[in-house]
Amino acid sequence: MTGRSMWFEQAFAVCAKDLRIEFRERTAVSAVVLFSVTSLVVLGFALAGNNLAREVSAPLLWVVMFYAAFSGLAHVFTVEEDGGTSMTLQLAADPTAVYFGKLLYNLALLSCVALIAVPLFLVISAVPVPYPWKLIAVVSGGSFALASAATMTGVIVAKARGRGALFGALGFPMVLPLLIMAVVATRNALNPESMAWEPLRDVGGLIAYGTMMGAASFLLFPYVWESN
Amino acid sequence: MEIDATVSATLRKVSMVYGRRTVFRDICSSVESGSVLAIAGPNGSGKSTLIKIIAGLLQPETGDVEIRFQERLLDPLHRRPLIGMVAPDLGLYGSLTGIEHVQLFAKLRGLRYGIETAGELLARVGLKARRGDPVRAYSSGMRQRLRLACAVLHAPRILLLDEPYMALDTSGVEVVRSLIDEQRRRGITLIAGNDERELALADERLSLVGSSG
Amino acid sequence: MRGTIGLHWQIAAGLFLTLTTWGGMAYVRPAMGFLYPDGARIIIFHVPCAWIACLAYITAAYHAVGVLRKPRDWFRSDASCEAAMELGLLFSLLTTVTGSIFSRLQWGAFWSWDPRQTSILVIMLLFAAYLVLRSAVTDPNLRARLSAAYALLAVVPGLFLIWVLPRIVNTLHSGANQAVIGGGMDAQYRTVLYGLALPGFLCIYAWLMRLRIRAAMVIAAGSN
Repeated sequence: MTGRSMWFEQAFAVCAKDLRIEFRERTAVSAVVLFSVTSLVVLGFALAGNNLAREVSAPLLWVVMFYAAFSGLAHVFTVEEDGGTSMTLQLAADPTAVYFGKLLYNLALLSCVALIAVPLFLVISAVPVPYPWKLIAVVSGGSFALASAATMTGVIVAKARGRGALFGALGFPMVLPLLIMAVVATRNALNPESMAWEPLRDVGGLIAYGTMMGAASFLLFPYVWESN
Repeated sequence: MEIDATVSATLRKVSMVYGRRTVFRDICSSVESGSVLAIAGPNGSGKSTLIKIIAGLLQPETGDVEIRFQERLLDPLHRRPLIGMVAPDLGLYGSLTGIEHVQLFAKLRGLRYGIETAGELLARVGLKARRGDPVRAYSSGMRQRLRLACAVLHAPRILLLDEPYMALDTSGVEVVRSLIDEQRRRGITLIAGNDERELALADERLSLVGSSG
Repeated sequence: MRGTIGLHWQIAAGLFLTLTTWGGMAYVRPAMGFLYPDGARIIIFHVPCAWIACLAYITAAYHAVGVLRKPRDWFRSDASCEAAMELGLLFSLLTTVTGSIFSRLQWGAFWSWDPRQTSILVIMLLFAAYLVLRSAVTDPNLRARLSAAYALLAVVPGLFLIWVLPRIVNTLHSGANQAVIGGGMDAQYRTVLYGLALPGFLCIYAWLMRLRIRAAMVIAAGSN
């Protein structure tokens, strides 16, 4: 087996292991789902049948996405630190492969959040969606960037033995630029005038942010992962 | 299998400091293939810390650990495949089964273990009957057996055992003995512990004195 | 260096900052293009604060690389990184406050969600988050490594805030943005800004850095 294919095998093994554990324990998924459903139900109650303006609905959607993501994404590393398994994993696997596996897992988790939160949000807020594919593109790009930023912040918080409050404090400045971009892009995607939409700026910016975060994390992760 | 004399570990003036407390200072030692070194010392003398430094999990304050394999000096990045380790604070995944642990760690080491091979390994450490149970349901002795299985599945050249007898019954002790015998033919074994039965398995002994303040 | 903690830096900072105050308050003419022409004088203090906040981040990132590259003897790099981050927080705070005062005079509100304002706010949050992370970890080695990684990760949002964000959000409030970035900076302002304020702020930054690092080394030596 060549080095590169072994690296991918390691990464997929880490991701598959986390998915299997999550499938059996459902800690992160239940936290995330509960959070998005609760917040959206409160939103629906407050609206009580009134429609939301496009300008307000875009930030609301991303506020729900951000908090839902941050209630679940740190779990993937804190669980390793709490159980003492991070050392077991360090002995066996390449750190960058561990990072990639965890990123894949967080992407899966966040896709799950998006699949639940976005349709529910659209039903409750009754915002018209003129071009569904634009919204799908923005939500996918935004989720990728969010997962990328949250994964690295998550490992720092887990190593610091911190909890939710620290994750929020460290994560917020890391994701704020992408949240602003995502809000602007969502607003443009929901705009019925097709002039407002610029794929390169709206989705490209999010993907660029996620890629840059991923690249920086890739370089920095081994230093954090291997400090005991 | 012939004795493969190509692996060696050398500690050069290794010291470790936690805050103000010096755990140990200027440890020098050397182990060659085929031999078993015991690391003895009272509680808090840094036995586990030294094991972790050799495994590359901790960075010593001064000095370094040289590992040579086939006459080549290995940088820390290339040591991982050579090392297998058992320690009380190495965690296991509560909701994965014994067999899933073996398959996971084999895959991470770049090996393919089918159910059969993994089952044979687990039978060897005495976990055959409970191999399909989640580790959460294991007793501490069974967990220790699973740690042993995960430490040797890639036939490591350097086997680091921190309190290998922890929580083990008589048959478990036999498993450790046979693993060490096998390791003698493969490379180096280091045993850290307080139990005289553990330390008696070694040919040489390194005594840590413990901190004086 | 017994007794004199960078005395020359102190003297230089005092000299240049006195001249800056004179330059900003008396030498430059009120800027006529503005709603309150005298209010524009705050630019002389606002802009160097923003520069120093940026410089502090660059220094911190440089020392963070040092921490991660050195398995041992990282202590001084770590202390320098922390000192730079603390000064970054201080100067970004000063930037925000002076900017808000100017914003109140010029646009009638202390805060107008201009992209530049958003940027400095998030950068301030990054400095603060770094210090929060440090306070959460007790082991010095672990603290050095985690906070260095966080400091370097902040490069990504930092670059986006400075270069990308103003271009994306520009379309929404281009008017406000133009007034902050370009505007009527005449030669007098530039002379005082580059000739007096910039060296003065650099000197005070250098002096504070040295003082802060030395204090960290003394504290560490005392606790051992």
